[in-house]
Amino acid sequence: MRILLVEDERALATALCEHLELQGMAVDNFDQLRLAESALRTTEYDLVLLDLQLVDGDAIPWLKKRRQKGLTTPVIILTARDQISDRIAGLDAGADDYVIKPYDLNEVSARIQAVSRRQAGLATNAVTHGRLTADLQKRSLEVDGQPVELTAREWSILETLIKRPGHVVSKEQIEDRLYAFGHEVESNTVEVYISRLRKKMGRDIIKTSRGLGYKLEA
Amino acid sequence: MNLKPKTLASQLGVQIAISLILVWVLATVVALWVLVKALNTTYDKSLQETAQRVLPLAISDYKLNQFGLLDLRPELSLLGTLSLGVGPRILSEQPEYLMYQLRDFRGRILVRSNNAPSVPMIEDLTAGFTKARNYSLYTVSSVDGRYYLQVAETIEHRYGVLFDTAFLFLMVFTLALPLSVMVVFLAVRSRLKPIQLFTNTLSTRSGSNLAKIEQTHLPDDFKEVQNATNALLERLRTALASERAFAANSAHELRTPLAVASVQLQRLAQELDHSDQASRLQEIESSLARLTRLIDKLLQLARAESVSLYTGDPANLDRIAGMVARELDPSGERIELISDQPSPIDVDPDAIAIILSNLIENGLKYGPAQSPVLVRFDQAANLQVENLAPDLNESDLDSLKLRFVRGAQRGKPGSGLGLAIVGAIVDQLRGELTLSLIGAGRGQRLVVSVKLRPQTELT
Repeated sequence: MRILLVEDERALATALCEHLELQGMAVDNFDQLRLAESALRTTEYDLVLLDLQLVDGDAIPWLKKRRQKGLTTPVIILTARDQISDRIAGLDAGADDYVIKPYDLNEVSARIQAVSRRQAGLATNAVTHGRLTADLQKRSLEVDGQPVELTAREWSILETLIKRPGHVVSKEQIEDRLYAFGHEVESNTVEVYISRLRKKMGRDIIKTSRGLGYKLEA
Repeated sequence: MNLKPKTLASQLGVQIAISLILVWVLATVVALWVLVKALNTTYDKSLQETAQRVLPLAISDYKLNQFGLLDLRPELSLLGTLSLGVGPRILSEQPEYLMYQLRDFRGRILVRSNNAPSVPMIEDLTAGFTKARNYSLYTVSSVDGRYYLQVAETIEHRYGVLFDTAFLFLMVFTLALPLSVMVVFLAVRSRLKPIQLFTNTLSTRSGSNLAKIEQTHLPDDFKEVQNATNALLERLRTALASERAFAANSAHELRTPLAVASVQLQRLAQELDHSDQASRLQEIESSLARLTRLIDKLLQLARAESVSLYTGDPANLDRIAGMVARELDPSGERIELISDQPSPIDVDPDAIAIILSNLIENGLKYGPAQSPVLVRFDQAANLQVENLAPDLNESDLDSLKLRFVRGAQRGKPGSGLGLAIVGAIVDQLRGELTLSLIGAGRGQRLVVSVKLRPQTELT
């Protein structure tokens, strides 16, 4: 999952990035709205984490404008503004969730999962696809009823595929969800992780569409 | 009973009407006084002139009569109304207001007019004006001092004219005064109408409406009041905006470093995993959480002071209650919202959220584990939060509203400010906060009722 974090408090952003990356997410952090806007134009994000009080302005009108212009990426506001009127304004501007600082890092992860699940049109955290049963919240996986342990990166790739069942996901799309800006992308990383996943889950669950990418077999 | 008129229009009307009556009375008195003076002068002058003209004629008639000529040829009489005291010779029946007596130097009446008495009107024969009994009279003498003519007018006649004039004045006064007072009242009302409109605009607007009053057609001197009122409203708007901006900035400035410290601690705890240091970090984390809660409460207490100045849209209670409930009980297992679909209320939504979060938080915290917290809204936007409170006594209820008082359950985390904050907000909104215990034993419940009064009712 690739996340855009718009936060100008460096120490906070660093800790949050570290935490999310440990969960297998790729996080790009910008401290200004204009930089975030450029990033949104060039990169496809699964979710935006947005602080409200930034050096170049208030993010609520900015979000409202982005939504009017067709931004569909889910947005979670992370802010110190604790008033209900701010929360209403944020949600009315188009945010999907609103988390008040200081927050629990695990709670932020859970909210990301919940919003992401809603965005994917999934009613619950538990997703069943063929022989797979996954809990997106708990990050647990069972194949034919047997639990399977996955690393954060492996989970990230499986999550990308499981949210688009039956659809081909390109190698670049998977790479985008594994690496943030500035991270060195090794040429065969995706193949390596797909191979590991196949070993753990069974060879026939992830199909390769030659020249196109990968998909979960129905 | 106070009969003093209360409105400016009626006060002005009464004041002007009273002044008008006084001026009318004064003017009438002065006019009558001037009239009396002028009439007296005119009548006196007429007495004097009559006496001077009648004297030679009366002497002539007297002398003719002495020789018996008038009996033979009455047409020779110059006055035609002579009487020698033995009976009047009346030549006409016309009313006569003046009378005269021709007297010799001994005081005997020689000739008199028909309406003059047969006895002297006054004994004194000194020349000039004299007032005697019922007469105003003027005495003139012949050059040789042998004859005196006294011309008189009855006091009754002279003052009869004056009374008639005064009566006329009174009639005009009686008829014109009510008319004038009515005109005054109508004029005052009409002139004060824009001011009345201005007052109505001010009195009927809600407490949340701090917009400028734009009213043309006000008198210049009242425009200053309008300008001053608008300046005051502007200052209120600015103060409110500053207050809210300060609260928002304070929250940001206080919460951000707490958030930094908190996430850094969480990261450290993740890295240290199960070591001894990790448990010590947990201690620091829980202290930080406690500090955060305290700061929250102090910020809420500070915000309580400005809730009555709210100028935004009416609050949707159901939406706010839903948001607060989800925040405090994400699983939705303990909070039960019972809403009678209250209509939007003209109260600061942040104030309602603070009230709700404190009451619900108390219910969740101090009620027995897993027991439900009922939150009710009726159509009039009255709020009730109810939870089990088996250990609470009736005598504790009043002290619970005090700051830093936490009842019998000190062991549970809390700041002791929740109900004090709710009380401060309710006071600001001039609402009512009541605590009551219902039921008994393990089923005893605490019911906290809040009656909110919207801004529109406070004006």
